Amino acid sequence: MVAYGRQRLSWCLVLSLLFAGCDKVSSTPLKAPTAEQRAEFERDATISFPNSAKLVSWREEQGMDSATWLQFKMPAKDFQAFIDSSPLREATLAGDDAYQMHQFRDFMATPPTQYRAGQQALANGRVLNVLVDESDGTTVIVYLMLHDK
Amino acid sequence: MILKSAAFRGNNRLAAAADNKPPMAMGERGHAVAVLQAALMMRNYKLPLTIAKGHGTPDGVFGEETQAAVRAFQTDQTLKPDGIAGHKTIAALDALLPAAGPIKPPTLPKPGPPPPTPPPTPPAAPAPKIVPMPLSVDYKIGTDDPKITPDKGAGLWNSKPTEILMRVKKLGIIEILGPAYVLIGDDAVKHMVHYLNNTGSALTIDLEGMVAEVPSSKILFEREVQRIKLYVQQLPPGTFDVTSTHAVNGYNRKGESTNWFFAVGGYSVWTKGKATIVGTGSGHDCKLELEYKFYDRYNWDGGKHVTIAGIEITDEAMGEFHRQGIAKEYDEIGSFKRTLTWKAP
Repeated sequence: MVAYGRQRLSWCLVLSLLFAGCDKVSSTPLKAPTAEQRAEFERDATISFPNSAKLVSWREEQGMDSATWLQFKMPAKDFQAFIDSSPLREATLAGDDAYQMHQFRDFMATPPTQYRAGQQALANGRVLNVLVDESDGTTVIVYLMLHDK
Repeated sequence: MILKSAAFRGNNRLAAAADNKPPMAMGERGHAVAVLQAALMMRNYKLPLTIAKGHGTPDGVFGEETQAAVRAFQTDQTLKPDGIAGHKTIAALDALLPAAGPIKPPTLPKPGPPPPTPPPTPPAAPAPKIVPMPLSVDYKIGTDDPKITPDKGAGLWNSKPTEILMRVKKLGIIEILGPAYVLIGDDAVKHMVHYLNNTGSALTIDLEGMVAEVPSSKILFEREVQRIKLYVQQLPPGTFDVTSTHAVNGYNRKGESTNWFFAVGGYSVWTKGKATIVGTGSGHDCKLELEYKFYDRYNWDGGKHVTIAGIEITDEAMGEFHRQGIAKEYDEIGSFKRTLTWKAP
């Protein structure tokens, strides 16, 4: 009985803290991705970052359906080739997308003055969202959000 | 020239362009250009700037991007790549698009008994007018719901023997779920209880509540309304069933709502409805009886984990309940309706 009571208390603690929204528990602050995190993102999103991409920051939110955000910069001239080599080639990237802007806003140092955004459902059951900041003519900032359905 | 595809047939401007009277070229604007752009996209010629300017639909402006797409199409068809859509280009594109259905001949009255003199020939009925429908990558005329592929889930239900420890864990969760709703929200608790009740039956969620409580969900709904209105106001006069061609996916972030993060997380939504259009041109009346629909599969399958004070909870453990037959994944469904009326700009 004592063991059962301890077990029950543990689950109370776990669920209460888990569901209470403690950021230390289920989401991580912005930071550059480790090599392992980069590889996991590439695998789950079925993409490959081009050599010219500089990965800037990464965060994730873990739960029943988890989400991962990743930000990188690259020369604007390389962006279309990246899109064409990824599942996002099937997506329609449109401007003025309030939903995508909302989902990436906390991840942005500076909101873009010109951008396109879109979404592609992946064959592995996940969803890949993209917002590309094209405010600067020579460099683009690419924001990706990968989440479970 | 008579155009045969469903997209082009009945469009006077495209028919004229197919006869070079005059061809379509840089600088032209209007519905026919939008149809041409949509047709090029249907043949996989990308027009990202055009779509961006048109907020998800072709903008109807024959600009540099459209000219480049026409050139690419002409090159692929071994035509002169001049970027002008005239006779050969329109004909080649028309031939590659899905053909329109046959025009049903008008029904004539059945002949009566033979009269003493030949009856007068009935006047030829006018051919039914073919009204072109706006082309869209997001919406279609019809009622078929888009195909939705759920995520893989935790595996086969009740495919493993039940362990005593897992039963104990389940009991522990059930005991605290009552008071836990204060911390995590009533919908998260309700959905988890349904999972642990182990029926596998579909659960209708409070979709209106989710849209009201989760900012991203509200924005997604408003975006969907904006987009379908743009499609509907391009329709000709009449009443039409309209439906999304594909579902869009939303995600309730934990920072927005702990309740809906754990109740749903990621999800799919789409729109359907009955559109009524009265009149044409600027200011014509549009009405849309809209239904906003929702689907998600409640499952724990991400392979993620969190550790608190040395105690770990994993998707694996929650999924294990399902595999051991003491909880069961299920479909979350939902919808609500709105009636929208507006005047087309």
